[in-house]
Amino acid sequence: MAGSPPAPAAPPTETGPLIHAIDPTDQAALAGLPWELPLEDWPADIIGGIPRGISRHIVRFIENGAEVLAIKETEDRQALREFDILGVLENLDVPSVEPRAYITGRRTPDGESLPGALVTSHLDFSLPYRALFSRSLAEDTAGRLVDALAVLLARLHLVGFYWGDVSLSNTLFRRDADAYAAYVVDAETGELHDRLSDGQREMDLRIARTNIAGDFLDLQAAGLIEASVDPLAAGDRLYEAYNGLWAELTRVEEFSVNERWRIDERIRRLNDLGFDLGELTVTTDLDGVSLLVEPKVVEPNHHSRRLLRLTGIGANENQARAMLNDLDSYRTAPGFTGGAHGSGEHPAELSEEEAARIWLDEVYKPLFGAIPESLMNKLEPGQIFYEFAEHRRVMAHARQRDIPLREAIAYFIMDDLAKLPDESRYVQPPPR
Amino acid sequence: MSTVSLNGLSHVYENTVSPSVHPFNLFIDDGEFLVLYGPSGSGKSTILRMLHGLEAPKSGTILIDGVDVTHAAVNDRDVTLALESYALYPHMSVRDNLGFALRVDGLPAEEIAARVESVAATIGLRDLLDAVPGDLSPLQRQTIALARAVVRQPKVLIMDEPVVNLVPEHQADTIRLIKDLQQDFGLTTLYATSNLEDAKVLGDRIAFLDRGRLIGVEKPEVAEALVASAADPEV
Repeated sequence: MAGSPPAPAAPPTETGPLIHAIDPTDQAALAGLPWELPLEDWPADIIGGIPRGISRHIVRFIENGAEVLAIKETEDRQALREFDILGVLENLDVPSVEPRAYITGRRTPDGESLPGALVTSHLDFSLPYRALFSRSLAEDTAGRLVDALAVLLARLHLVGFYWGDVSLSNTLFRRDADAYAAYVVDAETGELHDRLSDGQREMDLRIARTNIAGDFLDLQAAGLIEASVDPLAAGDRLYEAYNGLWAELTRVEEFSVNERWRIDERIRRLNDLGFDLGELTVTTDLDGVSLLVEPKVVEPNHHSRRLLRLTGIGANENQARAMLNDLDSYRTAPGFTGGAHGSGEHPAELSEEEAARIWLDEVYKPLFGAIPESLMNKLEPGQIFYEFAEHRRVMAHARQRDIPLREAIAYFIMDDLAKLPDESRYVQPPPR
Repeated sequence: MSTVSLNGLSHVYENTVSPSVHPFNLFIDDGEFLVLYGPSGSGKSTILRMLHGLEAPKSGTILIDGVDVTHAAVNDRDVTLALESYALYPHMSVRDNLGFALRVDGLPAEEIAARVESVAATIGLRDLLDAVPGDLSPLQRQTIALARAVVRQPKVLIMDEPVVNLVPEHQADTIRLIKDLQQDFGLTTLYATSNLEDAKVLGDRIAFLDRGRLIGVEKPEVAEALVASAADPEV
């Protein structure tokens, strides 16, 4: 229900709050919560968890049927403002949490006023940055988180959103193959403009540099990273990653008229970065000697869209890239005849649509058909596929032979997937 | 401490025709506390944002200490927005919270320590330097949040309605705190508000804005008269 206006607020009672929810069923569910108490004092039996990391607000998670909702305590008008901003971000297809409701007019039984609240959906399979450090020993976790934040920031700036409080703490991350995808989780300081000035973009980066350094000091204080790690280095990396990406997305280039091939190169570079070129302005100078080339509309998720079009599978950008690589190699593998990967005898070239259909039937579906339901909450499906492909590749390297699909699946489930923690809802249990 | 000179400054938002700020001139003296007062949409925040570098002026120049910074990058202006956020890092001591931005700015440790000591002594919070935010009262936390901006010793301090989201009982305390700190450190300060009482308490002078036009700059003592005359053209 992206951007839908909230339903009329529930009628106030003498001390009751006004609940402005998009979905009437949320309205009913939220009405049963103890809004007359400060969030900090909510009884443990209704709290599904508390967030980790630095937060300037009190936040609690509650279970609402099969899903989890995040409730943040904030002033009434801030709650409304952030609700609206998150709705717009959702409409603009920017990765962010989904707003569900905001609550105003809260009072204690004694009539004392309480702050308002913002209710958002918990982003399944998302992890706060602290969790990634506490459970991942992967090399350069910090760098990959910062790179993901740089992509998110560039996407926000492309749609004219000035964040005003960029930080790892205000971001959630989903695994995306060997990288991460970042999502806006706290937008209360944000502003939407037709287009951002250079000063606004620069200010966001400056704030990010300070906040990220603070986030890293928080990790050091918690013993999650070595004291020798320079907290400022991550902020510097953000500058570098963001500026490189922004230049590629927006730079005006001048070519000679007989260098039109460079336009194709530019488009390919954008695709490699995960963006599609929606609109390009090409201007010839008065002498007809050179071309000015300026990207006007760039859209993210190049690989996700291609995968969705070919297979109907939704996945994060890098997961989609990995699946497409698998699919493409399947399509062009010597000896492919439509049977098991690499097992045929006669070379054949398939259209990408045909290859996708066969890949789905012979690779994707057998993998997910073999995974017990109880293990499906370990990772997002796109990440499960990526981890499986990596597992199979490493196995093949270790044994110096191709690993048949069903053998690879069996070992992957037993040795890898079953041992992973459940990441569908990563929240800290409430104190009992 | 610095002077600020805004000369023929104006602003028009993209895809609009009418200026959000009509051309105006304003000089803010070294160490002066100037309040930009006006209702929502009067242009006060846009003026601060132009000074900060977040909005590009349509016309005019911005001089700080006589240097033209109209088109300078945000980082090259030495203008600090105070009370952007009241959040302090919970795991850091007051000392580290105060010195944090200086550390990010790359100042030597000795200079950071000296500045933090000096600011803490001036605001009377030296005994709290080793405490963590969780041990402080709400007002003490706000004091530290404000001192975080002061310790950077910016040429110009700006504040955009910083108390509007505070609970009412903290607003008056914070206004007093801002006034005391500005006087203690003599920082050239621009402060935007739509609350006339706050403007009178805080400002050495008050710049009155209405629908993007600067309609007068007065001492707080005559503020009421100017507001009355603006409301009633017969006066």
